[in-house]
Amino acid sequence: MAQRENSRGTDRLTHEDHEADSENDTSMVHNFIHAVRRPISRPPTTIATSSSGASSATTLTTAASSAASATSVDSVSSAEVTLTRPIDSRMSDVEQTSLNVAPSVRHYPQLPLRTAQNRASQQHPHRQGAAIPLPEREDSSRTRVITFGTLKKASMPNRASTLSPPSIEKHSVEKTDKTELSEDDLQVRYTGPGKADSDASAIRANRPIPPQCGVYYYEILIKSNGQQGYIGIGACNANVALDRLPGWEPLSWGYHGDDGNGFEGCGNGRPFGPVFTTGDVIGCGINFRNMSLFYTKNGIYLGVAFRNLKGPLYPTVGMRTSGEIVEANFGQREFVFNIEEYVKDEKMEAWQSLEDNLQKEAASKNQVGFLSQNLSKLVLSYMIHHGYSESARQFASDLAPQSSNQKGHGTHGSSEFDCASMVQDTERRKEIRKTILSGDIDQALTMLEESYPGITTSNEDMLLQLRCRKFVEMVSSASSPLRALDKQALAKIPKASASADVEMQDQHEPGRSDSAMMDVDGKPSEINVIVNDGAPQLEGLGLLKNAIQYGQFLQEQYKSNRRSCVKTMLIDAFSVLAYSDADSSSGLGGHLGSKAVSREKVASTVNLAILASQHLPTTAPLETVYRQATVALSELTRQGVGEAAFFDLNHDLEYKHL
Amino acid sequence: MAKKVISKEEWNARLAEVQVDRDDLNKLIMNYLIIEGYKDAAEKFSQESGAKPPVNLESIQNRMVVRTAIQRGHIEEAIERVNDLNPEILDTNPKLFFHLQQQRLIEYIREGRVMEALEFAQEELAPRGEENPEFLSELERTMSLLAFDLNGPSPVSDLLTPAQRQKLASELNSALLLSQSQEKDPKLPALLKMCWWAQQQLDERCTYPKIKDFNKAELVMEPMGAVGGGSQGSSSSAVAGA
Repeated sequence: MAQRENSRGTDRLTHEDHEADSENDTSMVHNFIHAVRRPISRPPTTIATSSSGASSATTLTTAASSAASATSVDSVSSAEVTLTRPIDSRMSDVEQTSLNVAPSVRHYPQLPLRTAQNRASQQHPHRQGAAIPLPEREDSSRTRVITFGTLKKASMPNRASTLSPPSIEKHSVEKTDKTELSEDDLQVRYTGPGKADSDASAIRANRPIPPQCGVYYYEILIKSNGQQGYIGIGACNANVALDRLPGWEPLSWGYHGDDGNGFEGCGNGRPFGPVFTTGDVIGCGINFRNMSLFYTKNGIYLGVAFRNLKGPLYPTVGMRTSGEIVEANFGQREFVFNIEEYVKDEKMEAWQSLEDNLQKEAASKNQVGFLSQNLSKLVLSYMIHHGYSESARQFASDLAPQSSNQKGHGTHGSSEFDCASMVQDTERRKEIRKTILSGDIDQALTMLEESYPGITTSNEDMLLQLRCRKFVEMVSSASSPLRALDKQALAKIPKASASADVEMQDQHEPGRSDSAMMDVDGKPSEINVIVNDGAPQLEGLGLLKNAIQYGQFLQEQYKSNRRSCVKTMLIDAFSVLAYSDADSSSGLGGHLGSKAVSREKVASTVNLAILASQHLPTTAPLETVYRQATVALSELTRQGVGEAAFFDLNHDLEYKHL
Repeated sequence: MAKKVISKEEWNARLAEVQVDRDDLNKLIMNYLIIEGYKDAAEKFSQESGAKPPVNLESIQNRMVVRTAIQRGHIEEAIERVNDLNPEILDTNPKLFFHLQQQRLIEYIREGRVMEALEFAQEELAPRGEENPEFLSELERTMSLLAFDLNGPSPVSDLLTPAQRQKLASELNSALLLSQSQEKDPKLPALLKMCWWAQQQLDERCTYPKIKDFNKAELVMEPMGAVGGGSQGSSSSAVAGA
């Protein structure tokens, strides 16, 4: 089993993740999906050895993780069950016991991926039973030893805990006495008198099922029917009395084995399914898409028993006659029922209903192909935005082929896909980008001014970035011929920052001031180069001179500028002098990155500046749609909309497999 | 109960956190181009973006020819092509065949060939309409084109838009793909649909910056109590189209 857990674990996401994320994480849906693939490193769920008899409570938890205790759309979650029960009178401390209304099946989400430590512990579930007792958010450690005391403390702040109303507290001890846990942590045995309905005892999870899971499913094996098999399985709200079988009380829903009836908030059931008895496996599933509850028996779908359920919902099991034993499967074993198939069907239903809604919307707007007609435009604008100009041109002409016999509304072709000018713009941007990527900043500056007059003056930061890049390019082109020389000698060059008597040559920069001293670190020093004979080094020196001259120009230009980002940019640029190879330097130059990366950065700044100057969106609309879909879905999830679980960008787009 | 309001700043911050992988989007685009049969664009896109086409581009040639014919309004040619490829497609798909015939009718009307349009409608389309009430109402709607000025606005002017042809082209394309037992739905529409759906659901619960016009995908914060307020500007006019 452990093997299976490991392999399946990677595919699962658990409620815990889900729930925790839903509160804090802005991109929940995303995480949800990513969690499937990326290893999650979280504090391992420490599995505390359940306190032994002496500690007055038998606390057993199934560290269920594998086959999915809870099934959410894409991720069948795992869950843990903690069954607690005071076993002796030493626990009569009212305060303590009051919180443990009855033995409760504690279900909660759990990590999909186990740490090694955790996995190991799962291989010995009997040795190390309990896990997170109450994963309320306040507790960041997720590590708890389960004893009654801590359990009590833990439950206190839980917003939806089994914090019981006084009336139940009174009975809690009695009730807990009516059930007992087996040693393997999963079985519950009824030990009460089993004479009357008032002898019933239910077990309830201490934590609600998060609706974000989409579909939640668990199975109960009837180990023994006992005397009468008055066993009820279902779900209920937090405050439902636990001395009643599931379904007998308001806000409680249950399917009973003795008569096969479904009970919905009252003592009179109505026929629902077959009776069940020893050896049967009853599955209980909650579909949060439509808030319905369905059952399965031995892997066969029995249908929806209840609709319009109201949350928060807790899994619950109740028993009433002696000898009854049930065993829960919250996913630690494979389910008898093919829940994954069910989820798949539900997902298709969800899509179908989406399509139906879309149809209605399109009809009400009287628009052919509402949404889909936007698609081609999104694709086109995406191509244009990213400078795939050939594709854009081709696609535009594919969309609106010239037609000889087109009359009437023929104008559409040109007005909707009037992309000639946009494509032209794209081409220009592409050219400029290419030029920057080739390192020819001067040329890029010229092109910018030609195509977008005034853009350099209105975008100071862009201009500075370009100039800094130019400086780096100059130093870099000087360093390669120089490097061809004596390396030892060269090593000293970059340490130098300036020289006062460099000849001015080859100035491209328009409006540059005349020579000015540049002082990087306050101590102008001489360039200390051992000049050997030969052309390359002379060439290198000339280039270096130019570079330094340009650096001085920059220094002069920006010396009165007090903005810290300007200073940072200049310092970054000048720091290349510290390296013999301007762009391949790592270390300090980490922020400079490789040549390609830094050029790309500049190119992208320029591209955005151009787009802004043209009043074009700085993000391709298609990308905005993608972001919007992601954020909107995660907001829905955050708000507990179960249906949102059925839509999953990563999974539904499957671009990983395209 | 006042709806929760999520500010533009907060929303933008969330949007900014979303990781968008250019390669992934490129793949989506490629998938769209191929499934929709835009062979030349797919080829160019593959060259420019580096996205590898998952299938041999030649295999989409046939579909592209059919698509182009439809988009040019050459419906008969498209029908012939499809029948050359696989005569069963139209035989087994009366709805698609009806839509093709309907488009033929639209093209007649567009070209001002009124007599031919009437004749064609009576001989070819009316009998099918009798078999299927859904077809009949579509036929009636199409015929009402004759009652309006083709160049002016009318309740049925959407039938004359390129979108109408595109829709038919896509329908036919899907049928062709299906007959070749290939995946027939591009993934990209799913993205849009999910976005649309999520926004719809969210509308019931909170106010947030919303995409109203999927062409431009500009985020618009709905002004309280107003529909399509000033901040929206001209962004919706494009989508309103015809």
